[in-house]
Amino acid sequence: MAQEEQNHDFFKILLTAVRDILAPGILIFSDSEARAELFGTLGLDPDADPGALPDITNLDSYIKSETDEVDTFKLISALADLTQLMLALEGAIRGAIAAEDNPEFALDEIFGAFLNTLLLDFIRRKTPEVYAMVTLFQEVTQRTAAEGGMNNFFDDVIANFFSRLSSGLESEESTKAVSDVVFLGYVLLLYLIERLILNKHDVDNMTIKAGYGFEGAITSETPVADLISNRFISNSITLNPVDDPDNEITLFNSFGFIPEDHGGASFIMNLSGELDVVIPIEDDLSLKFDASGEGIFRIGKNPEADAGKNNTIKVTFTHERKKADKYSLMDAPVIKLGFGTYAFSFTVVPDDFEIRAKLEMPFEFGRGDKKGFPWDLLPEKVDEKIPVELGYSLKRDFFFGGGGSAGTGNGEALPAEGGNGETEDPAFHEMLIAKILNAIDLRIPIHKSIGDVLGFEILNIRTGVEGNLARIQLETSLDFWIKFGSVVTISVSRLGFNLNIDKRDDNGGLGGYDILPTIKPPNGAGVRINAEVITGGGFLYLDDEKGEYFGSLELSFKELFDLKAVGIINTKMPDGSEGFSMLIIITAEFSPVQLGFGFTLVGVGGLLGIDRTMDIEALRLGIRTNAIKSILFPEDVVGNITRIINDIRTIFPIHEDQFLVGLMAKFGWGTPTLLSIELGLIIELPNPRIVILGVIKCALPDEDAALLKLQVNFLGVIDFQNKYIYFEAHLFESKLVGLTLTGSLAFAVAWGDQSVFAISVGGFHPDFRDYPTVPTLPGAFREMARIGLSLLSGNNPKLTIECYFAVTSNSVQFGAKLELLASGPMGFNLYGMLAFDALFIFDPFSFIISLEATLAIRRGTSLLFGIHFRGVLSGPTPWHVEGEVTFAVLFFDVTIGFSATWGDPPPGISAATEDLLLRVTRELDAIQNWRSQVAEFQHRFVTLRNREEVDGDASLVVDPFGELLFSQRSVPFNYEIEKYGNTKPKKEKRFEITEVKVGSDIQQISFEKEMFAPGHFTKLSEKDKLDRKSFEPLDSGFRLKDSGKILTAAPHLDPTVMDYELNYTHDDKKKSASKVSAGAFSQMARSAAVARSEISWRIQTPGIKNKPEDVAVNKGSYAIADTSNMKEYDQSLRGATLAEVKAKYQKLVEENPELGSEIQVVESFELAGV
Amino acid sequence: MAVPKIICGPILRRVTKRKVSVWLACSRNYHLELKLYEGDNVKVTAHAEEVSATEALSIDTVAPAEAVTVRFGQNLWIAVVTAETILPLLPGRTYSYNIILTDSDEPLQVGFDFRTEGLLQDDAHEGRPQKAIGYDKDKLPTFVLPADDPVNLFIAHASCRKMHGHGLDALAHLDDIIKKAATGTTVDPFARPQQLYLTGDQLYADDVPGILLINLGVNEGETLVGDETVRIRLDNNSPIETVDADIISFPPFLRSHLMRTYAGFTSGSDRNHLISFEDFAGAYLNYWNIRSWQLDFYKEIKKVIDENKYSVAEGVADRFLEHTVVTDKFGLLPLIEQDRGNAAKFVFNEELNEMIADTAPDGKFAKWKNKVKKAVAGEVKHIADFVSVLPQVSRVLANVPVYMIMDDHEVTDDWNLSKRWQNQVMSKPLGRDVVRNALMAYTVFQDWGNVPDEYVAIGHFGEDETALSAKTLLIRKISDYGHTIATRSGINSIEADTITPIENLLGMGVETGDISWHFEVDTGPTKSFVLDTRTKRHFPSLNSPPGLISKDAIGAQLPDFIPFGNAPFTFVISPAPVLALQSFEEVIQPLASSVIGITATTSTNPGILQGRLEYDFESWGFNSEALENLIQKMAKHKKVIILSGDVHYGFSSALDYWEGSVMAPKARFVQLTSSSLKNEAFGFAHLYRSALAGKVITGVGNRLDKVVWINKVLSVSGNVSVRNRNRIRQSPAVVPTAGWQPGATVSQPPDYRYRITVQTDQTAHEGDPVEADLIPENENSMKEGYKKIAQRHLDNFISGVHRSMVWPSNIGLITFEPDGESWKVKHTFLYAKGNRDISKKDVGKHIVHTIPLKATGDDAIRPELG
Repeated sequence: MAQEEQNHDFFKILLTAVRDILAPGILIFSDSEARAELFGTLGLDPDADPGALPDITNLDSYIKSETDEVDTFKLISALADLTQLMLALEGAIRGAIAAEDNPEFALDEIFGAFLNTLLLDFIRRKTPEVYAMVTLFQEVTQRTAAEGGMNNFFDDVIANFFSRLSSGLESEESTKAVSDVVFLGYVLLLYLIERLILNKHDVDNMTIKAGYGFEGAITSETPVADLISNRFISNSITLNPVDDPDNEITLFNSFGFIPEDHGGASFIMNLSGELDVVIPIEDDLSLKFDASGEGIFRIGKNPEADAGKNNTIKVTFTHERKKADKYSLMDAPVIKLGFGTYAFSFTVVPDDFEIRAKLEMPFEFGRGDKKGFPWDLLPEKVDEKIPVELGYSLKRDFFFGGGGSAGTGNGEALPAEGGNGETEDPAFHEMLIAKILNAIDLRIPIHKSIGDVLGFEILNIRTGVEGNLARIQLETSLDFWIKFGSVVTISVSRLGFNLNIDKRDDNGGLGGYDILPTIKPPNGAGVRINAEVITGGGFLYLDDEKGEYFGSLELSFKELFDLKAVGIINTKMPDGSEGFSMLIIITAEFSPVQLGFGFTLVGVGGLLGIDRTMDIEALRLGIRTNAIKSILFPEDVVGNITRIINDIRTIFPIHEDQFLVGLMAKFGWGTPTLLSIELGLIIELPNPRIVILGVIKCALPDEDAALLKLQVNFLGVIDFQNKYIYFEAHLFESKLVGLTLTGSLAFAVAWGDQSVFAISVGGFHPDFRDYPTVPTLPGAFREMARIGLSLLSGNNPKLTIECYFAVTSNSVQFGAKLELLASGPMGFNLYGMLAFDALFIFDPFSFIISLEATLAIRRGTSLLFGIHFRGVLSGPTPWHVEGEVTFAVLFFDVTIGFSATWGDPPPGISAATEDLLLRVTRELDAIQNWRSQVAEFQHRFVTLRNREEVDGDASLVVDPFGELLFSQRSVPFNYEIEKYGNTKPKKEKRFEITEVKVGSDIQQISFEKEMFAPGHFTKLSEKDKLDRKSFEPLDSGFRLKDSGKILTAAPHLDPTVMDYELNYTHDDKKKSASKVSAGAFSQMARSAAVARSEISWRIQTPGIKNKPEDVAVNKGSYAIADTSNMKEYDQSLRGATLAEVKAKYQKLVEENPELGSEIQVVESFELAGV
Repeated sequence: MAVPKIICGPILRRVTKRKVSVWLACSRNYHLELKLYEGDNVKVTAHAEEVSATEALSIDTVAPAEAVTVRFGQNLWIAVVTAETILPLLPGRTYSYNIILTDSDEPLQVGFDFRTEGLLQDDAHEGRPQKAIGYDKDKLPTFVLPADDPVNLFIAHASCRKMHGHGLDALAHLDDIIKKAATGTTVDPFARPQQLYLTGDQLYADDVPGILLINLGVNEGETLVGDETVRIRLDNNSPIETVDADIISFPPFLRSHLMRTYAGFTSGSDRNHLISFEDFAGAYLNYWNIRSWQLDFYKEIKKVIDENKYSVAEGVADRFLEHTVVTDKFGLLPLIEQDRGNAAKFVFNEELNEMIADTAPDGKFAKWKNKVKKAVAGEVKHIADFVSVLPQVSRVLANVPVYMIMDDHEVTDDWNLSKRWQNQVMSKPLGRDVVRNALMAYTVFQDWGNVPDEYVAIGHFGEDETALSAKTLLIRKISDYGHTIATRSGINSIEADTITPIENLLGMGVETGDISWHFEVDTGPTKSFVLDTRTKRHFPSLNSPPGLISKDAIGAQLPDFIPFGNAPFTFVISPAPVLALQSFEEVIQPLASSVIGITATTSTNPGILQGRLEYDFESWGFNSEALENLIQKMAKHKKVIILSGDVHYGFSSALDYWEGSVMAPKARFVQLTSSSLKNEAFGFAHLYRSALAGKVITGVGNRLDKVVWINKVLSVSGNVSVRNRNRIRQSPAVVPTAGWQPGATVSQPPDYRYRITVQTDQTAHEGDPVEADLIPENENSMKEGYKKIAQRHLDNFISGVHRSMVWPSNIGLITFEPDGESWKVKHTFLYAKGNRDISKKDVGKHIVHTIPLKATGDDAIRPELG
């Protein structure tokens, strides 16, 4: 389409304007007389010599260049000149500021005023009309005299208006603010229509007048009405029609807002006259007025019932530009944007008020005069017009539309708002601009293909703003594909260019902004290969903004093997800093390789992670959700890329200086493969962890029509840092002849602070609460699936059988349940159930076995006919049986209960006694209870040789930086010991460590804790035995705090005399070495040896620098609460363990039995008001 | 038709108790005798062709009040005739006057007077309509002296009258007031203005209608002055060339490039700038009297008056452009095609040549013609409004003693704006010629009547030539100039004989001139001091805003006290408002003026002014030193009424002044500003006419407090902004109290302080649809109330009546009311308010500001810093 057009270099226009703005300033500074005079009048030093202004040849030559195309290199030089110039001007003023002033404050004020003045003068020269309006507006604020109106005009007056706007039409005050803005803007618009459109084009048959505000007398008797009148506006449009110029028509109207507290929010208008006219200004310009109405009407709340239905005002200005202006933004590739036909309109209809602008933007994209690869890939020229529409209306708020699929909803917003962690609140007008710019996201469908080789799909135009307008970005990009013969097709998403407008720290650049066009890297690229030997494809997704790149590739080498690869690379750390992290999974599957015994190897794979860690908890969940299939031999990596990458992001989060190496293998058994085993072994370094992942799949007789389908996902972890081993397995989507199989297994051993041993198949006894806890795996042993089988397929009837078996450090438990449910019509059902649970607790030994059986016909869950039995047997001291049998027939039910106790009473006071003091003394003597430990916060800068045992000398040597520790597991300290197992304390019931002395000095200590079984020391009720934790941490010893006085052994070091040498360097000579900038220093420090030190800041604070504290489960504490209101009874009675507090409780109750019903032990979070 | 004998006037000028002066312009040389009569209603009767006789009591004069017209051009003869009475004239009485004219060349012929010249009847004279200047047929024009008792004092003042300016000519509104007071049953000598002050821009030399430029001369192609020339120089290295100063050399609508480049002028609307003395003289005549209008030109305009239609105006414009129909002389387009000799290179720049060369049907020239046509059509409509009431204006000028002072537009926009401007213009021969011609015209048309005693226009045998006043020398040289041009005798030595002496007298030469334009006049119980704010300026530096009157000059222009009795107040007339645009005093001010002074020039020399300058920079407020000098000076008078214009809107303000540590104010100035007579600020109509703009333009809210130190070395403590620091460093140090940080202090107490307040009309306005106030709690009251407000606002918008500012063409009327021992001054604006039916012109006293001359209430509380 050979459209007539005018081409312009966008940057040249911009720079020309800036140069023009600065011109008088440059002249003043270059002319010593003018400069001295200016400085003098400003109270600056008139004799200050700013020196010569920098050479701006590049800038001037760019402006003067003939071409209308952008030359990026020259542009950069021109911008550099401009920056130098601005800094020089700023420096000149700085140099002239009197010594006694606050230089930064004064500079800010004067330089700001200087630039504003130049800008205002530029406006004055270019458009005196606008200038006249600006000078009027600049006086609007009351603070003019105080704060210097004109120089603060842009910052204060305009921004202030906008910020006052934000309250809307609530009250008189805020409505005044809104009216000031909206109506003055309206007046300004009318004014500009008259001056710039009508006058400029000599349209003299139309006169527009407007007046805003109202002035009442100070002594007025209608002050309220005067105040309201003061925010009303009236205007008139007088027209002498061209065909009948002497028949003058005038339309009058007057309008204002009604705030909410005056019965609004509404808009009221007094309209009289009728005007329906199109004023042809020139061939391509027209102004259309369409207004009619008579009388007063209001819209919004409380509209007039009968008035104003036909009242409308619509003013439309249209400029049909046959010759579009195009502004060149880049020369290679050629990108031009421009504007063509545009229209503005203002509409008031009975239910809305709208201002709208419509614009046609021509867009050109092409390779220009470039030739060769890769330019040949680009289209020679794409020339499109993009319709754009934006505006504001009462109903729609700010809107932005146009194009084919425009809108704010598609795709993620371009900028990461506030992503750089800036906390400064943006000014309202900045927010407004940001809001509008961020709303611009146009996707214009093109769908054009050139000879089936190149296809253009979508043109994207987006703008975005980052934090307080620190960066404004305009993206213009294309989605397109290219075919290389029939074999390779590449599709690219959003390749184009960005115009980045970045705020500078200083005043250089263009009004403090740098403007640079850059290539917009594609967000994604896909490739499809369809050769004879290789088929497949892949997709690469690039998110430059987030610094994340990921992709997948799936290639099938004909009848040889299938190669799959998934990878993710991050160049930005989660805290926003630069970095690098990567994770790649590659698998290859091939024809089975026989291994013997029917086993075959069908695939191998590997995993490599750099600066990545494993989230075991996520992995653990992954075996239930089958997310581990995203890691172990993932399937359809191209189609499932999003899910796979999401899983990878979750399971392998970024963590600096952690590495992952993994190996995978896939085995099969039988041919065809009946049983497949996928195994993965992942090792994490340097904090070592080993993870074994696996999926065992069995499908019999074959996968397509499997009668038995069994999939076991499992996970094994050996974590050396957190000191545990954990294994978990789940049945996933398993079926036996169509019947669902469920089940899970978990096993854990931990040897750290929390000692755990547990194994569970199918879960735990329903009354058992003391679930084993595994460090860093809060979900372990929770929500385990019973080993179960649904014997009837479908939901009705339902027959399920479940069982479980578990062993923990203090218990064995098992049980089974059979359930039948057959639902009939009208809610009737047949329900049968047989359940059996058994729990044995070892220390102190007890057990509980329960049996429950039901067979009933029910409606819903209410029993109609049926029998129910429940019985519980517990023991052994004493034996106890209780239970009930219920028969129900319609409205009658009979319950027969039984309860009996026999055998030995509970071992109240054991005859045997235990000499606890002796035990404690022995523990104190045992050398193995004493340890030397280096505190975590201490760092050794030397490595100490292991001390050789000399002659069986088992004495303990404390590290020079170490601490001395004593801890035993026999008797808890600071704890009331009621019993000791089945024996009774001989004499001493409570042990406390009150002081520790080294020599004669009393040392500071802190207590150490070990896990003790409270049931061993305290008499517990049966319920408590089930409910309470088997082990609780109780005081077991002490840790000697370093006071510098521990010296338990003679010094083993030989003293060495240090000598030194005196040397003089030439310090008096001034060093000429250049200073390393702060940025460079930190850059160098990053890779220097010092950064590798374990006390370096980087090591000490891995990951996110300013992250909030880690969220951790509060270890919890216990307290005594008032039963009536759950308020804390006495704060001093708090304790870290239930055992401790229970003891205190007992003591209180013993002292004052009445308290028994008034207080209770609770966890501290249960307290009222916490 | 013949050219009228009297082409302008009579204009009643300086009138004191003993002397009455009348200004008159004729097309030929005459001998004049002024006759004064006691009483109003003086009727002249006589037979045709005879000098009129009257029954009224003639007032005896010391000598016969005679004068001879002075020649200022081929057809321009002007006189100021003064009658000195033996007994003083009394206030409260009406006096009538007549002038008997006889042909100077043929003194024996029967003379003529106002009646025989047709001035005393409403009929058309020589084809031009007129109003009987005595308000009734055959009655003489009258005047009243200012009352001695303020309660009867009635002064009018106005400014800014542009022929094709927007709005009605408000000077004509005064005609109704005089008519009512002088005729019928309501005759009241105190109900008519006793003095009229025109406070500047009586003429827009830089902006006359283009169509007027080719119709300035007398009828039938006869020139008014003669063939004048101007001197132009291409640049400093080129020789000075002499070019005919006429419309062939410099056609209308083509003068911009010439004026900007070769005269150094900076006016924004200079395409029809006046250049020659004839241009200026002709403009004055046409501005003041229809008799000097070319008849054909008037007939063209009359068509628009008769049929106020755009199409008719367009027809006039067509004829103006295309051919010689308007007059038998030249149309604009034939003018452009003329060979203008060496003037061509000065008139046409590249742009203009290019424009004229593009003769395609839709080419640049065609577009330009269309633009000019529309401009002329627009101008013509405004000229029609102007001329249709011009007879009334002439009548006003004949019935009230009129005093005038120039502002910039008498010469050009921005005249003497800065030292740089002066250097720029005075270094250019054309600039000098135009300024000189303007000042020559000002002398003859304005100043002569202000101070007739200072001019002895015609020498007599045996006079002591060394004792002649500067102004006498000046007017004689101007006359020599006119005579030389008219007769061509001595034309070769005109520069040495007249031009150089005139320039020297005007201070355009090497030495400072002796001419002072300020004057004073008795105004009833007091005196009025009319300040010259244009030629005695102080320029602190090249670019900075000037002090409107230098410190030395202010001593000469305003004495410390009035030499007689206990004047209740003093009148001071300053064209630019003294109390205005206060909000510009800020750090931006020196900056802005520097930038504007230097603004985008392509030359490497920053000393060139380009582009339009804002009148804003003319304000007193821009140069604190001069403003404070004036304030201190006026404070000695204690009660001062300042009359001013210039700003294109009317308003009133007051300044209260505290000296030293005294808590009670020492002085109060009331400033009454009336502007414009006919030049509404149309471009800003939307905003200017709103109530908001009122608040905006009067500055900071409604009041502004300042404290001032004179010649003090001050130190400050506490937080003081850079801006205030700079203010403190100046002398005088003037600091607004607003924005002064609490806790900050200055080492010495201020020497004086003042507060400026803006006045609002407190009278109830009739016909307000909002009869009772809205009650926010009452739903119905709010609902109905909002409707009434919508109606009220529209009414108010249409009427354009606000309370502080007056936007339409207006004239200010000043009267007084007793206020205890003091007085209240009443400033009434006479103007036409708007109406939906634009044919209805509701002229009335729509806004009244009543301002006590003694501060009361809050106004009397002293401003404090911090």
